[in-house]
Amino acid sequence: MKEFLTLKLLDRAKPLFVKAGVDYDMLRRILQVKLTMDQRRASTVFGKSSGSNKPEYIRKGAVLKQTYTKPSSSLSIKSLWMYALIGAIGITPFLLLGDNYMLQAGIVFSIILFLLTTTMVSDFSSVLLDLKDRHILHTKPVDARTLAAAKTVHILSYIVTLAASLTIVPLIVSLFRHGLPFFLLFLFELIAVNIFVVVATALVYLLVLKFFDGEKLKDVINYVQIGLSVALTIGYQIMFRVVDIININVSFTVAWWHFLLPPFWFAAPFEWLLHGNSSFSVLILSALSIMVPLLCAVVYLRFGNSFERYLQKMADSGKFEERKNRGLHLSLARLICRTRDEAVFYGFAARMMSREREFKLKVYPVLGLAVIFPYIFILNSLSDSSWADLSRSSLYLFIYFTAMLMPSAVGLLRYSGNYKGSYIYGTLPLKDMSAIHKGALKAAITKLFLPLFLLNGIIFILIFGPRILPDLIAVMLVITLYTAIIYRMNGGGLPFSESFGNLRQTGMGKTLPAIFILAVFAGMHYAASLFPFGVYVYAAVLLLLNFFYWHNGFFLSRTIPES
Amino acid sequence: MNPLESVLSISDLWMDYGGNYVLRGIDLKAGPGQIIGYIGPNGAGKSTTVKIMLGLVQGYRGTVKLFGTNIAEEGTNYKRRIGYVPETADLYDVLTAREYLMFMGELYGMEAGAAENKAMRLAGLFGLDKAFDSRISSYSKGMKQKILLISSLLHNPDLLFLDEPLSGLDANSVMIVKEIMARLAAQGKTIFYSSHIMDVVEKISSRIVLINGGQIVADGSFEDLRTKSQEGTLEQIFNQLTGFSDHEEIADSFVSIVKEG
Repeated sequence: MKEFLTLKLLDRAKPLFVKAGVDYDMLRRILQVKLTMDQRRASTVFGKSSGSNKPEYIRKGAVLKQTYTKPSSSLSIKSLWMYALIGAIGITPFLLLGDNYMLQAGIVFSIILFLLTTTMVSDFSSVLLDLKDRHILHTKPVDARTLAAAKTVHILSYIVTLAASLTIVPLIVSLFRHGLPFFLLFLFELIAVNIFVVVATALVYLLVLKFFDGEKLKDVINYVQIGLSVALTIGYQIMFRVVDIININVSFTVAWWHFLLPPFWFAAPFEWLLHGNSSFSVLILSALSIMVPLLCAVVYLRFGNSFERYLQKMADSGKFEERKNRGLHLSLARLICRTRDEAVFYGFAARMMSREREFKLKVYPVLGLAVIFPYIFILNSLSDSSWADLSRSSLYLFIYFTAMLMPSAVGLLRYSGNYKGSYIYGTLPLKDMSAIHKGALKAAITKLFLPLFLLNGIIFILIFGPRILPDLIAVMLVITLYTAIIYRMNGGGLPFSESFGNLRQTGMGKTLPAIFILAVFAGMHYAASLFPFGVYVYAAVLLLLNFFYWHNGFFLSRTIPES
Repeated sequence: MNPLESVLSISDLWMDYGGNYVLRGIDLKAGPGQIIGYIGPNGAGKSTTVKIMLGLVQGYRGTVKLFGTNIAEEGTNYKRRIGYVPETADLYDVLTAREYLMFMGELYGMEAGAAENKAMRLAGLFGLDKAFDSRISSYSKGMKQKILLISSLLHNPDLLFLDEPLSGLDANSVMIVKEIMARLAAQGKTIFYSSHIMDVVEKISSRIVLINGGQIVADGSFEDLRTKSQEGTLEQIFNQLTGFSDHEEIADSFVSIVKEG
């Protein structure tokens, strides 16, 4: 096992841990194992893993051959470069703009908070809520404090690495642009931000764990994650509204709602210490930036043990699944599926999608974003045109953003926590494997996309008037075609047949081309709308394409795959 | 101290999950050298009892003393003398057997080199020497089970909780493990053996504890239970004591429904 740099750095803080009553050597050993495992897993921690370092095993009787190409850390370094780039391009300009520290630092911290919290929620929730640890580590003579510390440091080490690569360029720039005091303050506040993000997320989960149990709890955690990602996106937009409305060079007055936005807490010390603005509200905000993370940390340390105890609740079996009225779904399945096999797999996929924990964890936050994204873009353009202009415009095409969820939903369709159950595809007397693909894909469209589309469609009709009805039908036709196209682009592995551990390259690599294709469809839609009856022609063409594609596009893997 | 109580002593143990009582006053004492077959129907409270003793489940009422000390009052130190094979094969399977077992040894406070050396020799005896440096994720079910067994014994514990320890093992390995258990008991170790396979429990246990509905309904040697219940096998005793007698009718109905087509 490797010596990690993280551990060497941690050694410097050893007296701190010892003083807190932590068995440091044990903590170090647990972390070493955890970091090794992360590195080997096609980890979600840094999201990406390429095919080249996937281990391969051949077992012949008792003899095991392992052809394992050496795990490379270059991948995570690659994504760290991405964060560094985002930091350099996305954050640095705000430091250069002017001397309104409150606004500049506010924006900088909102970007940092946004990125760190979303990563925390999407990638580290599984570490925080890991149940496997209980049977392996908690049955050993290691005290709870050390185990809790190991978990926290484990997560913190990633968040800090991430934050460091995100802020390395901005930090250097700030040193030259605003001088050493600014730099030091920035660094200090960043540490506070890191603690705040990790501990506040843990506390939210702690609250959820306290009041719910079993399956319900897992659902609630799903909703919290969706809520967080939506709230963060909206909050992020608000931050930019603030900048739009107030000129960046005009002096900043504190309003009551600034106290609710954490970025302003972290920005206030700059105003106070470097600009000498010691007004009461700035002082309060500054105090919040230290007090809240500190308070969260104290509460977390105090109740960290209950966290582990509540976690056991997740393992305890939940209540029965409610037997919902199956009538609607059954008739929908009959309506949109052409064969009985297809309808069966439609029902299966629909259920898997609504129950499969990891699938929900990964897709649902995107659902939240897909709903609100069209409005964010409409609001952006509303700032320089009137409401009447808006309702006459072509901005209803922003509804295409609702389909943003399809690339990730479709891409994740082949993964499952219960992937081993997929042997059924092979053992079933199926004539045509395409029924599996079609059923699952139709379920993805009706279960995930359709409800959101109907919701946004109704709101859009209220905004733009009934004239957009034909357009909405065209959009729906685009989506059915588009979904099938991106499904094929993904290579068409059987639904729910691979471990999430094999999940590779869900990031920009696959999503960008998919989004590009969607943009092309939207562009053609716009072009068609310029001609009289153009939309009708567009819809008719789409209908034909749909027909051909859904009939002939699924020749892939009609045969039974070799497992 | 009475030697019979020296290893394990549970008195009046109650546990509920939100008003749903899974344990209703368990009283149990065990001494060194016993192999206790801990049996009962699904959901009877077997694994809850074991989880409480391992410190995984809190919020119980009653006293649990292991090695003479109350586990609610002591820290985690008592776990040093316990070995555990969980029912669900939870292990860090991206690690190799060498790495995993070393880590387990160290968690029990062993020195890394000593743990490695011991693990390697034990694995060799189980025929795992070739796979020792492969990741556990590539192992068969039986191989994983052997790793779990080794990791539960590495630190030479005095009290063992084994939950279906033979699952997935081939017939030859089963024979080895049964022999190992007998010898460990002969050396004065206490073994808690949970299983649903009554034939095995019947043969290896020196004492059988049957739990049903959160209460102990029978406790004694197999001979004791047989005289009391007038049944021939442990399976029959189990059926009788858990009030189950209609397996033939159920099987009949089952097959007739299958035939409906």
